Amino acid sequence: MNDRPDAEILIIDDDASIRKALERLLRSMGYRTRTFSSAQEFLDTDFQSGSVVCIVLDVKMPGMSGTDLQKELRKRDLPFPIVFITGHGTIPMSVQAMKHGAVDFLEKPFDDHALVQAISRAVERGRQAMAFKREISDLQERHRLLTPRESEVFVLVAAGMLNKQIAAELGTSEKTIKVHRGRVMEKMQAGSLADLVRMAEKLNISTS
Amino acid sequence: MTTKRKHGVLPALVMACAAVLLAGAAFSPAHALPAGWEGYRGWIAGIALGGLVLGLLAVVFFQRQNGREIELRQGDLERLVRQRTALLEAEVEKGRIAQEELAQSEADLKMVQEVAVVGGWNLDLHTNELAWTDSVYEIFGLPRGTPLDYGKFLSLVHPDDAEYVDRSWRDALKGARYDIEHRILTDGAVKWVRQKARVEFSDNGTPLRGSGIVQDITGRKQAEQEQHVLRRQLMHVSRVTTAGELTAALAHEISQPLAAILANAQAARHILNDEKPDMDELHAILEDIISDDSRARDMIKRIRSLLRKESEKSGRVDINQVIEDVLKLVEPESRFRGVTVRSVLAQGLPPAMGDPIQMGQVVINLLLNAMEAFGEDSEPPRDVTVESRMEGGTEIVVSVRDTGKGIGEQAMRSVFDPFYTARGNGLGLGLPISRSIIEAHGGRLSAADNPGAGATFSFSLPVMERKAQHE
Repeated sequence: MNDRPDAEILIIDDDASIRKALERLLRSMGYRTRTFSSAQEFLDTDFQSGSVVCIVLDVKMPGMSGTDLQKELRKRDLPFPIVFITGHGTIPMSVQAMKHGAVDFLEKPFDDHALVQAISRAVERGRQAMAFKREISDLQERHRLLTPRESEVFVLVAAGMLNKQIAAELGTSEKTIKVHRGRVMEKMQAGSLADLVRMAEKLNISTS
Repeated sequence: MTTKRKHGVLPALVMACAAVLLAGAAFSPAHALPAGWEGYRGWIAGIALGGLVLGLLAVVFFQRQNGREIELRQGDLERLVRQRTALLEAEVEKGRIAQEELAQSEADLKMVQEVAVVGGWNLDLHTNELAWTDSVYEIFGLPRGTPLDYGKFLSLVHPDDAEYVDRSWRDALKGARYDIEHRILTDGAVKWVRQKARVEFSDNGTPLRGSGIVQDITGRKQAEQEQHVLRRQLMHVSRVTTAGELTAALAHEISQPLAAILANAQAARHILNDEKPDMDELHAILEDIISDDSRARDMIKRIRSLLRKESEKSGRVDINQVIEDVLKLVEPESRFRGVTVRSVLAQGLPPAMGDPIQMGQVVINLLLNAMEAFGEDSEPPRDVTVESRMEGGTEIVVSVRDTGKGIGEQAMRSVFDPFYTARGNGLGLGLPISRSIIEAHGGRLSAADNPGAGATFSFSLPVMERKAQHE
């Protein structure tokens, strides 16, 4: 429950009375809220990247629909967790939304417990996503510090090759590779070889 | 021929008479002859005898001539008589045939009367005596020969129709057409009859006599009534189908206020758990709950009007009001489909005569049809425009125009056919039912492809006559 103070819930629905009622409900439970009457209005707003947000999104809206907005956010690489709300859910519609990463799909009218659960999960997932995103950008930052030679060594080490093999591959001595390898571990802040391999995976680095 | 005979016989007789006189004079005593002529007695006698002979001969000759002529004439006459006789016989034969034909046609008429249950009547306007043919007695279920007059007839008319029948007859006596359909009561059973009559007037314009025919049309009326009932049922089914098509969007529309009500109520519960509940907020919540509830109720009312089995009675209809009501009902559906519906309604339209529910049904059908014109993934803009306007001062025209894919020449022919449908989920009854509704209201429903994109469906409705408006 300590997710409430820092989590801001964004409500996007074209129906004014729904917006007002949901805002009231979430505020009465201690959430901070912001409301938007259309997908476009939401897209036109600047968000401080990094703040954990959860979107409560109506599926059917005139102009850009909720599902259209979901696609647009993915395209813009904004991994906001989304809880869809709809007046008439169809199974294909909910499957589609979940496949594209929606946290939940609630049919109106819905219970406050269901909403809170969905929002909690969404906030958690948002936090994870945010953490993952931060970790990736950290790794990318470190990866950028490597020299071209070190990058080559990194790729080959992550692929599981021995120093001797890497030396043969790059046409240099095993001793030199050992030095490069030490620098890679240091710059990437890897505690072990396994750590380094995981980092390579997260950075999507491979030999091919 | 007559002159010839006169000229022939008379001179001969005169000649003979003169000869007799001369002979008489010649053979009489001497003093009979004028003085001086005695010496010629012999000559005179000779001439007289010759004249007599010649005269007689002439008489005989002419008699013979006449006789031949008479014979000739007799022949003529006989021939004439024969000709006349033949003609007469032919006439008699014709008459016989005519009589037979008459008898036949009378028999036919009787059969027709029996089969069609038609009868005739005569009303003497002086004596007030009413005469019926047997068929009329049969139609009215009275024993033949029952004495009748106009009052008796009127007493047999269904009480609800008596005033109308009486008024129509009085109008007919003033020269109006008399061709009416009304009910009669026979042994407690109700029958429908059609009456057509003609009134004969004297030279100074007083009505003398009325004569007419009565036909029993109970069967036809029953069939009409059954058809009417079937038509209403079909229209109801079509409305239910339409409601079904709108269900998804309507469910969405109703779930909105319900969701708002629930969220508000739950918010109120949370607020009440606070140490110092915000009373102003609770008040605001209750106000919102009440207004959302009435929103849901309005929606349900609109659906119910669509599902209602019986239509409202026909009356004065504000067609713009009908369109606006329908737009509210269809609005969720259009939003659902991403179609923008615009309305261009002429102000100050006179009322049309009809059933508002049925007219609404037509407008819904046309709007849904227009929305269907856009395929699942057709590019925006998806515009539908509904327009009302006055045309020619006598009719209101309502048109529904879309910017969809149009109808096409091929489909145009069958677009009003029952069970023809270009959409997967349609029954194919919307347009034919709409057309029959409009035609029953005295209007027309037609379709046309637009010069640009899409199609336009228009219907016309006659405006109520001024006279009717004052009633």
